[in-house]
Amino acid sequence: MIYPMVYFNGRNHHLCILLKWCRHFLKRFLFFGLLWVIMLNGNSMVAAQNNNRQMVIESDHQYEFADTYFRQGRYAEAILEFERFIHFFPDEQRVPKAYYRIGLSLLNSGRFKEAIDSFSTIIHRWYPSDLSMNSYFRMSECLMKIQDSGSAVRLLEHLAETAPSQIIRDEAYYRIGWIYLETGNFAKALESFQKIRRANWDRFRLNEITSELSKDNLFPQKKPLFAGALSIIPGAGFVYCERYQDALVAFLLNSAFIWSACESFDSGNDGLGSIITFVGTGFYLGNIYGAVSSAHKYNRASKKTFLENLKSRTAVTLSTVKEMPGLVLGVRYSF
Amino acid sequence: MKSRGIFITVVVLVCMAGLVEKAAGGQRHETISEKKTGSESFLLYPIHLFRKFVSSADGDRCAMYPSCSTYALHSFKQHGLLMGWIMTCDRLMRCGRDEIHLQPSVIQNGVRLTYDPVSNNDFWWRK
Repeated sequence: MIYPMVYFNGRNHHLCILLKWCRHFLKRFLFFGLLWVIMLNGNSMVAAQNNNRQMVIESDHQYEFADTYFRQGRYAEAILEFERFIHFFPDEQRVPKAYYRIGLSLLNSGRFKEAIDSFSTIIHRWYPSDLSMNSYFRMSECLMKIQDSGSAVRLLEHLAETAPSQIIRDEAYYRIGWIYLETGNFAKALESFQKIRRANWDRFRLNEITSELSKDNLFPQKKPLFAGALSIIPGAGFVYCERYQDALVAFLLNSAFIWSACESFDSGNDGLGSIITFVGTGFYLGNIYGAVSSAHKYNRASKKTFLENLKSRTAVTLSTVKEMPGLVLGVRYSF
Repeated sequence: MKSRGIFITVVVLVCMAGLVEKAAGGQRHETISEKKTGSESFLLYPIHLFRKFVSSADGDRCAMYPSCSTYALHSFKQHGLLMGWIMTCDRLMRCGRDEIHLQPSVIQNGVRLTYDPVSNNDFWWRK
């Protein structure tokens, strides 16, 4: 390396120091630069090696992984993994099944509206496959969960009109019948059961159901209007609804209010009498409201007991559609 | 004397009913709103006072869940002051009696209480 000639006299002393410093810096720069190049090259080699060892996930592995989560009841993870499966393997033959599993996971997680979307996708894209038929039934269950029995009935009626096989049509009518039973419309329920083909009546145990429903008094009921009318005498409506303690309290409390209001007016305490009357009026109306409400509650509990008994006596296993060839799927339908 | 008493009672009832209707506004039956209006919050003030001073000193003794004061607040907010008042009176008469044997129970702070929310008593008329 050639350096400029410098005389070491007093004037050039600073220049000499500067040149020394530059030389020192250049050496360091070259050393570290070389080191950096070597390290960079080494990193690239390691990265390249890692790239060569990258794992490839096949569709079978991804589906099995997602299905494991589903079987363990870890539905949030299962949904995520099935979505990953659908994203990376959109042409795979198990995509409809993945959608169905997502729907079931959402249904089991209580996310009914999202489950409806998932089942709806299957119906629109893969009708009339077995899974789309099952999706109709699961979708009707979701609708019942969100208290939309009207839409559930319409959906199943559409299935009953368009389904390719008789057994699916019959199952649709059977489910419609049960929805009507749940909503208290027994005549419509019977009408729906009657549409099922006679050959399938034993399968759905319809002889027992229809004979139960044909009875005059299906379950004991109270008349709400009558209970309200009886409550003109405080507590009488509660007695009619078999609530004797409530009746006693209503009678004593209202009698006390009426008596104290009369006493107040008689003794010239009109202001006090007015306030007592106002408060007493609330309790008197509450007594009527409570009696009517109790009659409705009595009927609701009575109907629930009747339906539970009917279900336990006539429970059937619905297995019209097989999910996987070679495996029989037994689905116990609970409303 | 008697006619004067009846007259005052009618006047008080009419005034109270007017106040109740005004406070309840148009949202009495149709909508459920948690937002309180000024007059509504004013008329619910006694319940808040009871909860803050009486109930906190007296302890939780209500056998139902939600408690009667909470039930009253819910019914006032959901159905306005007129129906809220009637439903509250009904609840006070039923509290801790036949309902205990007829409705399901919940455990709250280790105590078994009878579950009787507003929805259990308005299901037959509220759509």
